[in-house]
Amino acid sequence: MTTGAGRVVVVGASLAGATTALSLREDGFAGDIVLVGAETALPYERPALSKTYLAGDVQLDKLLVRPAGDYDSHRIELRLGQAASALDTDSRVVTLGDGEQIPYDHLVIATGASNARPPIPGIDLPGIHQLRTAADADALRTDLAGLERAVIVGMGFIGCEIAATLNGLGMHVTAVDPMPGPLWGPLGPQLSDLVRHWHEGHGIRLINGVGVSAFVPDATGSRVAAVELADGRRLDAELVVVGVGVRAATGWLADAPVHLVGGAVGVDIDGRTNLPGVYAAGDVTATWDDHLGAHVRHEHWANAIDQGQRVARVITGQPQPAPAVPSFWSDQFDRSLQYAGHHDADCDLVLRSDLAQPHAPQVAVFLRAGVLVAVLTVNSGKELRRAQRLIGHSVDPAALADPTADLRQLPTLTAAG
Amino acid sequence: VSTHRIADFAAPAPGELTSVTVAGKTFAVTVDDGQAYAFDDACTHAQCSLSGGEVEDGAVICPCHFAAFDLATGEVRTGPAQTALRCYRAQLADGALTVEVPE
Repeated sequence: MTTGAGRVVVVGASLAGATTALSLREDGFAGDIVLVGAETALPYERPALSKTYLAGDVQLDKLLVRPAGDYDSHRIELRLGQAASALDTDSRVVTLGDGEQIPYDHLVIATGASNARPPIPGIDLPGIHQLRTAADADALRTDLAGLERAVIVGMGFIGCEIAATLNGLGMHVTAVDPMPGPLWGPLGPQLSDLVRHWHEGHGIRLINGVGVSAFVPDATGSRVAAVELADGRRLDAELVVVGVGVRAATGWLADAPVHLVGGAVGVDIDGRTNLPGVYAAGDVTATWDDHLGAHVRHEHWANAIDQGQRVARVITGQPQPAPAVPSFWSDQFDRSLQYAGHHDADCDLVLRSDLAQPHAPQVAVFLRAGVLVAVLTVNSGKELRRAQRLIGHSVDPAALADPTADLRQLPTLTAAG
Repeated sequence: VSTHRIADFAAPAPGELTSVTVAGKTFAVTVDDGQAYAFDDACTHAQCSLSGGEVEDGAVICPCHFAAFDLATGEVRTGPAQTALRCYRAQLADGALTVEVPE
């Protein structure tokens, strides 16, 4: 069956953008599909960039969303190496960096995010890296050859993963973050402490509770040589990686009446924006969550695919499956961390494992007013899937805390609602 | 083809997997409705051990990143894996498991 006509322009050859374009054709869309991307590479998946790709264990062709031939067979017109520079939603035209104008009937915004760049003196010095694209990872990998001392600024997921990878490559790694521990924001104190044990156990030095005041050049001023902390300490650094969060890449929408939420494109669960015929998917979005009564950023792999598929179904008029539970993973050292749901600092943490044994598998569950809202596991993804099915249900914390109790048999007190 | 026989095979519960190592190679094995299925234990995505995962709706789910592979064919049902899983002919008889491995 084919459906729909006209032209869909997808701006952003990201995982979300490529998924939208490919899904449109697979859902029967009969019109033109144009996929515009700032990078010259075919759309690829980013999770490995901070891990196996940075370590040199995998090449970019293994990370492609789909082989090149799929874009031909799906009759998707690729416009790579072309960033969009402006959007006119009245005349329904996207302007590219070289001035070319592409009219659309449906527009999909999938421009992702770009790294926050803190205004720290010396940030532009050679030897200071950020990581978002494969080209960034290539530059970092080329630069680190033969170097010994790296300083990681920021201990979010990207900082922790890069610290682990550089450690695995044999570098002496120090990581700095103004928060009290690694992954403090997303995981909270107890689980942050678990991650601290992993990193310190591998010989990584963690310095928390203090920010960076300056990057100091070498004698010739040609390269970073040290990182100066707000408390006056100075860390020798041959290489610095800054990972302090991202901003939705919406600069090109500055003159368009697209509703932005904290700089991200506000969308409903199916990727509709405030404007007819304009959709968004992936890291660029902030998605309205009915339960939380707020827009939420989900800057993760699974959301890029889910939202891309949902936008394609809206455009082709296909029914939508139930919304997916937000989820992500992070691999550090030989640990695979998985998370599903959404929790905040007000939630109660119930442990089904012993955090004092940092090398053991872990299962941690978050409850809000007795209702299971999120689960985190380490090297225990089977338990994650089982606990995930209980999200939205009231469960007995004592039964939940018993690691011998089968999560599939756990009595629930209320249905999900 | 070399046929490997595991005499005292402890079959996993429905939906569960176990691993067996024969001739230096580790396989994940599950039993569904009396039929044994054997495939490489290492996921094709990030080499996680599939025997730590579970089986749902006729698919093996990796415990690390939740890639799903068709039990019978090894084809990828959902990512992040992009390469099909290698499957082997397996049989269960009288409490013994046999796995056929092409040379």
